[in-house]
Amino acid sequence: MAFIEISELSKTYSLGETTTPALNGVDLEINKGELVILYGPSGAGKTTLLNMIGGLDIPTSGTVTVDEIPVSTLSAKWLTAYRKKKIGVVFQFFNLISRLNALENIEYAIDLIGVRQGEGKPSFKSKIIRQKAKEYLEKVGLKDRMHHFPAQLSGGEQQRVSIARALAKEPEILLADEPTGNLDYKIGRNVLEIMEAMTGKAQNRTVIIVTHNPAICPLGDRVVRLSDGKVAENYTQKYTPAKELYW
Amino acid sequence: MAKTVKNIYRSINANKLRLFTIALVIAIGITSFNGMVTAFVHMTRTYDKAFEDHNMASFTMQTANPGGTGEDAWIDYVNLTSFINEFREQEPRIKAYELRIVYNTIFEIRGEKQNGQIVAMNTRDTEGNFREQPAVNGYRILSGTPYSELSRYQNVCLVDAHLGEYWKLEPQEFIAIGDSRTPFEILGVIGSPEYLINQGPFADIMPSPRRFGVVFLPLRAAQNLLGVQGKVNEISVLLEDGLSKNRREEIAGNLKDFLETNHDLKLSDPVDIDNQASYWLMRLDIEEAREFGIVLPIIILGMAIGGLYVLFSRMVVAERKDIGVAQALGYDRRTIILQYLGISMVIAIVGTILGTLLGLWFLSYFSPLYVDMLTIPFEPEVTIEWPIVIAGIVIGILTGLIGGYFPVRGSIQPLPAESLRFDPSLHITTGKIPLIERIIRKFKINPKVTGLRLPLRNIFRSKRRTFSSVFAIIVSVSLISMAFGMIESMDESLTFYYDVSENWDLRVDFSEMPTNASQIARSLKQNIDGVSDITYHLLSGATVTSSESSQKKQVSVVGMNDSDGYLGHTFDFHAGEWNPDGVVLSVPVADALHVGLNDEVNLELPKLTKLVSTTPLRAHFELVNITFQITGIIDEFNGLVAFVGLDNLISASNFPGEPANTLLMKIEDPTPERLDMIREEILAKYGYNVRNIATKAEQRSELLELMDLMYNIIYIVAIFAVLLSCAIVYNTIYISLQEQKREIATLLTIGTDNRKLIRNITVENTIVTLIGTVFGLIFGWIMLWFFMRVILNMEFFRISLFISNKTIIISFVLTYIGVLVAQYFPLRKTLNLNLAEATKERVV
Repeated sequence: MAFIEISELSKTYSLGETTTPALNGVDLEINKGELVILYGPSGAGKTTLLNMIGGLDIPTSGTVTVDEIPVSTLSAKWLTAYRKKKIGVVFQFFNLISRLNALENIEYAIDLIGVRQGEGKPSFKSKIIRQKAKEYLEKVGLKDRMHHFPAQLSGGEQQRVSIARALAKEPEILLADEPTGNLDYKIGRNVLEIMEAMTGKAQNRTVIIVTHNPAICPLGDRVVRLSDGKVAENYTQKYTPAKELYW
Repeated sequence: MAKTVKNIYRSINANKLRLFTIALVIAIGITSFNGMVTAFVHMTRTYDKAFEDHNMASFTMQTANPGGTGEDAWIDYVNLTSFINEFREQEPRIKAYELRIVYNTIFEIRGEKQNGQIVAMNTRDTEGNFREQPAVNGYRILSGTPYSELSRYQNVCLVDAHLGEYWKLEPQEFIAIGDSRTPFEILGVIGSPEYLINQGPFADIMPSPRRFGVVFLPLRAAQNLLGVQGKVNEISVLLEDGLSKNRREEIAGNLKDFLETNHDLKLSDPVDIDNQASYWLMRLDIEEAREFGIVLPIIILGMAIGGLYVLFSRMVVAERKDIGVAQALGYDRRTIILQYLGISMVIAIVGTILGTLLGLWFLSYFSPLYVDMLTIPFEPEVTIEWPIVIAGIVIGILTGLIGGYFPVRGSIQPLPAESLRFDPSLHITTGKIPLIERIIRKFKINPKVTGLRLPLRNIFRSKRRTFSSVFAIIVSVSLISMAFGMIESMDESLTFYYDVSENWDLRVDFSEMPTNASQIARSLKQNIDGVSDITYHLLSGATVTSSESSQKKQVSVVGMNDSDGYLGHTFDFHAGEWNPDGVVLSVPVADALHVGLNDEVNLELPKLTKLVSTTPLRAHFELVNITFQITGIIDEFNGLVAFVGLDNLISASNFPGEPANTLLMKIEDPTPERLDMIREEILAKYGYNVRNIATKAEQRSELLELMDLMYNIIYIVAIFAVLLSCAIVYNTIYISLQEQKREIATLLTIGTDNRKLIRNITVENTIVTLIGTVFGLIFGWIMLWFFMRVILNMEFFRISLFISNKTIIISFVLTYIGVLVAQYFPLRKTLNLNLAEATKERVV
């Protein structure tokens, strides 16, 4: 059984009398440790699919099963626990907590699950949490900016903090919704490199990145192209779009 | 324009519930303003109308010795009629007159004695025809029947509403009147403008139907009862409308001169309507209630306006990005302002209409309530007071204009991009850690990032938002603490006055001043079991002046007998001490005269110049100025009072013997039964001359009754305060949570559970409530002080301002409950957010 199994997944948004199908019977399997790019134009249903996997939204029909957990039928309480333990999210607009500095933003995420040292119960000691947060901030190259608040950081720096925050929880699945969509080329590239470095095969972490940017596609082990709420193509080989499409 | 209207409609429709709750803020303000101010106007009008409709006498004049038996006590009815008619030929401004008997006596009602007054009028007019109403000082039948043609031959009576209410008297019941205990059948209960306040002697500041009741008799029945056939002892005169007090006094003086000079009658000085006891006390009551009845609702309205302005400001700030979008789409500044102005105007108009309608609806409750509280036995005429309604509407509309215009004007940036970039939850430009956090870190306390740290940052790093929440809490706490503070300040002052200052259990006031006070005191102490201490005082009125100020103060002067060491009174000295050779003044008197300890003041006191009789004391007086040195200044409930040594007062007044008009007694084991027993014994011994015997509890409850109107107005204000507070708190908390929507969604997305989130938001709101409570209590205290000392400036009662711990807790708890209720609904909505959507909002 695949780590993530999506079967006949549909989602329809209703606004008054108008209904808009976002997903229309998606079937997809993703293995543990795989880096999957959900690629497609705006309105293809990429983000909706990501939200279903992340437990941020519930489907109209169909199922999402993650590590044998029936995510699509979980109650709100269990969905929260699922997000806390299994999922890390990198947002397009970073969504850092503006009143917390870079280090504290990461500390916040770690404090939700504690720091596991060995086989015992996780520790919630502030010192240990802080140490771990510093390590992650160092990994994204922001050790010297740890006491800066989001408003004092550039877009790229904010996204690096966002990545560190998502990964600091050591989630089994990392979801990134257009992580470079709000960054320029150079900074976006840097962010992707960091993501790639931190989510390599050695981590055994499943990573799903949503993008409409073909330049990101070569990063993925697999590229799933969505169109009109359906899986249009499922490239199991490295996907390399035409050069001219890069950025 | 059509597009703007459409946009306004859409905006309102999308937020109708929240906007309606904002409209409620203004509605509560307008309701309290319309309802309470109009009710006050109705109360005053009912009172005025009671006098006008019932031909209240412009002045009255009694015989020189109305309670006595000599020639100067009674005048022949027929003769007096012809004398006055003779006078009317030269004084056409007399509209009508009435010759009556007004006589103080004792009643026995259901086996219990009480003091009172009979008022008797002729049931026939000058032509000899029967009439139900007299030409002057009429009345209104409240229950039962009026006099009939046969009444003059019967022992029947009408009882005044206050007495009727006190004893729950019913028609056909009997009361015994006078020393002969003659039974009179009650025909009905009446309301008389002359006794709107059941006021007996002028100096009795705490009238009670138990001490002084009024019974109306047909003149002939009264003459038979008193054995003065064909006689009367009082003239009541009704003059033409619109005459000044000077003109009235001139006519009254002329009448007196005419009767004394031409017809050799002996009369007492005329009493003008303005000096009539009930009329004067009612005016005083209304004057004192005016500030409560008018200023307090205006304070509520002011708070509502302030609240509305803050809410609009928050609303506009929260929508600043939408303003940016509108600008980017090409809407000009004027159109955007018009749109927001439109929204604020709709809110203000809805609030004003709702407030006006509710105010008018409440009127039907408030007006009779006010009239009832003032014990006016006349129904108020509940009418719409258009000037007040229009004032309310104008205030409401202006609030909408101001509330809509200024905040939106401030929110329109020159460049749309600036507005678009703005996000209230990200609007932090510096990287400072709040001072409070830095302080607590000094104590090695480092709040957890998922615990107290985030709420602290939310509070101290989002100052605008915090300000609006704190403002709402301040409004709530200050209004509640002010209202409750007023009540308990009065309660506390009364408690102190009766528990500490007034050191007696039973007080006896005499109608006629005995001149052998020490002998009476000794006799009572020896002959009545349980009297542990007894003293007597001489009470007098005086005008106090000083060289330091041009002001004069009318005070009650108490001549204190301290010969046995028992004063019956405990002073709460602000400065100095008791010294029988000097004078002790209350703080308001000393303040008004700008005098302090050891300064000298003059007391203008009555000095006896010619003694007519000693029992009862009848004499001629003149006013003399006596200089006293101030030996003490006291802080006590009775605000206009001066204490001097009894010997000094007697010597200054030139009274014979040992005069006193009040006895104060301390009783061993003063149970109500024991006090009643002693009361009966004293009545049996001195009943003929006892005006009043009261226990401390009775006097206290009578005083509370007197202050009933003020108390009730404050209670109504407290209810409005709580309602207003809830509405403002609800809106600010709602807007505050709306602003944090994206961050809350982010926290939920990364795995914060609902419980933790609710806990954090509750902690945040609790801290805000605590901060607001501190400032609210300070502001509440300032408002209490300002209202009681500056606006109300009530000298008659000196009230120590006081906000108790209980009130502090009540203010906090009520506000906190409001906050929790307010956060519940928006929080529930926020927790059900579409996380995917909420986290994706562009906020760069």
